[in-house]
Amino acid sequence: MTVATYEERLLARCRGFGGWLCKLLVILLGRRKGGDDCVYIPERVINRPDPCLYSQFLLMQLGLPVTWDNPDVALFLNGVEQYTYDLVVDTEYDVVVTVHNSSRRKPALGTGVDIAWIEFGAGAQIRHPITTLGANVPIWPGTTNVTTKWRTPASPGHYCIEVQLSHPDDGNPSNNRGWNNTQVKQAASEVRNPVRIWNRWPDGCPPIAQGGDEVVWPRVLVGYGLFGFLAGPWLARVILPQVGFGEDLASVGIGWVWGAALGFIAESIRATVGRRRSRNRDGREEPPCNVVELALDSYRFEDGKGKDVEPHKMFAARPPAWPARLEPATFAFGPAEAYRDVLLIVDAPDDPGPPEVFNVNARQGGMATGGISVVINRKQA
Amino acid sequence: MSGCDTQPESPGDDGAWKGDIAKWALGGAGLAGLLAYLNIADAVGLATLSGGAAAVALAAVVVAILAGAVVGGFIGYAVEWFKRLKVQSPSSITISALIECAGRNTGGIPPFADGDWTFNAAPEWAVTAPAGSGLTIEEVRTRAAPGSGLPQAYRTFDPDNPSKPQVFHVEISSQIGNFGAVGSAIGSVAGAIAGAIIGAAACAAVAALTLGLGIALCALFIALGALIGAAVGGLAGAAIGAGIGWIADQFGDFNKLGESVEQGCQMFLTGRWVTDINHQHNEIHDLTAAVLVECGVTGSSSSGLQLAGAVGTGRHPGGRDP
Repeated sequence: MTVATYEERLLARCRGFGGWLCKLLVILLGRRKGGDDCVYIPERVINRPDPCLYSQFLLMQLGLPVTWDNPDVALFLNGVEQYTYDLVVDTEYDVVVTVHNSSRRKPALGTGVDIAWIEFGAGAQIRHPITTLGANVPIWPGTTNVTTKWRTPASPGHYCIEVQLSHPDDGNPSNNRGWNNTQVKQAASEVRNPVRIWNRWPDGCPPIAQGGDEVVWPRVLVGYGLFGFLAGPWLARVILPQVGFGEDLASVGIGWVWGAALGFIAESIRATVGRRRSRNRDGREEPPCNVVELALDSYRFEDGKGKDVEPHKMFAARPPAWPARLEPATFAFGPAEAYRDVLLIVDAPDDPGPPEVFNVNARQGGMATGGISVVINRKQA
Repeated sequence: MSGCDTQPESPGDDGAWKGDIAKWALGGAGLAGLLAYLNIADAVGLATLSGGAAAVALAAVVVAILAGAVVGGFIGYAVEWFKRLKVQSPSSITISALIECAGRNTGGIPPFADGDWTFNAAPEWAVTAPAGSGLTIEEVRTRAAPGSGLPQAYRTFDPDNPSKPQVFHVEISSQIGNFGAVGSAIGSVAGAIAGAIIGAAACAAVAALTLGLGIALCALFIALGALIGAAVGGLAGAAIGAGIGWIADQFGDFNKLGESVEQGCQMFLTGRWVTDINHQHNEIHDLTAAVLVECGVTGSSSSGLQLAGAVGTGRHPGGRDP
């Protein structure tokens, strides 16, 4: 037999018609449990479900290394796991997504799982939907696998799988998007692999709405306008030899229009000055939105779960395993330039050995836009 | 228990709200002074008053100015309360940060305490959503919101911590502040009217005096009644409003299934990104969602952001005593 908690008993008592009155009496008269008020966060804010998956975009925002071989997204052909590289055209694959829930209190019931494919490379924005599925994810450490069939496009190419989670009561919206974007190359004395970098803003930088840039209309219409409204009749008496009811009425209207017009000019000057000061403010070091910065490493994600996971080891940076570089590693998109191909150049050892991975991570205007993981196989011993 | 305080770096003005309310008080004072002067002048003619009657009439105008300032101040407080937060674009952000201070603005009624839950977030910190915005913590702290009228928002530090660390303020609104602000405005207006009526009733007591002095005293009683009524009504309205707000808070969290948070906890914090023009800094207000990553982060072999990465990808148990 289960024993009802204090909260369950309260809820049972205060249901149905008149429930609000019951709650009011309990609030005013009852003895209620609660944490220390100074640090207690109400339930509506904390302890929400948090469906999540391995999200490179979250990890890059946190300044942590990433792999684009997503441990939570797998592609199978006849039961054999595949890279997203060199897929067979017009062929049906199985896509399996593992959805986690970081909450230990609330299951993430009804989580939306949007699966799409996008162009290979980094920064591509056009999504081609594969399917939208639902997942009921239990509390941590439970996970749910969602599976779908995907027929590859008829044209040959390399594809990236994108997964986007959604939940109406999500406690953390920043860990819902993950990519699986891999490529495999055979080792050579110098591997030269083109990587396509897509322009996030081919139409130019998006405008930034910020302070000091707006005409405050209530101030124009009510503030300055009212000043003109009151000043109008007084000025009419100064200017005109005789003022009747009609002149008074007209002077009020004209005064308001003039007051508002003067106010608009004053507000426009204030807004322009403020805008200039906003742009030049101290400490702002924002990279232009067309500048792309690429980073290269050989980080490997060692998956694990639970108390034994040591985050400082899980996210330990690992520099390129072999001599490697990107050409160019930094560049600026020209106007209306859709993409640019950069070269990943790796000087792989000739002797046999285990494969290595090279992660290319892209940022445009300081924003994480994507990346790929290139696996380079060496000769077998 | 007091909430978490912040101080903007120079030239930011933490007390900008005082100037805004002072303008309202000044406006109220001017209107009330004019009203008192015109009424006394109309009733008796100031030029005809002399000696004690003139002094009493002057006192009545001064008291009326004070009453107007009190009413204007309370109305201004309510108006400024609801227009102080200017929403940014994007309106909602998520950060991961270490809690440097957690507290609640309790220990009084509005305007002295608003009941808000307050936090100061500190490094290690990062903006994690929206990922496509390119926002950094520096930008989140210093970009002024549209309509704020500020060229920039000013970085804040915690003045109560001896080392004065850089912080980013986060709040959850309590209904105590909202109801208290409305209650204080209604209370001060109602109190001023009631006080003036009581003052007018007291006129009967001086009806036997000579006309000039009688009218001057009558005006003084009305002004005094309005002043006392406005002050008492404003505070009483704030107290009643705070009480209603407290009950509303209790309804909003009836089950008490929340969680306690303290200094040294790493969290994900999601909410509305705003510029608070009353204090000229940026903050998250209201906090709409929070995920407790881990407490006691300082001294751990993993950094706060590494722990956030592990919890955020579902690899590590979050919260207290994992």
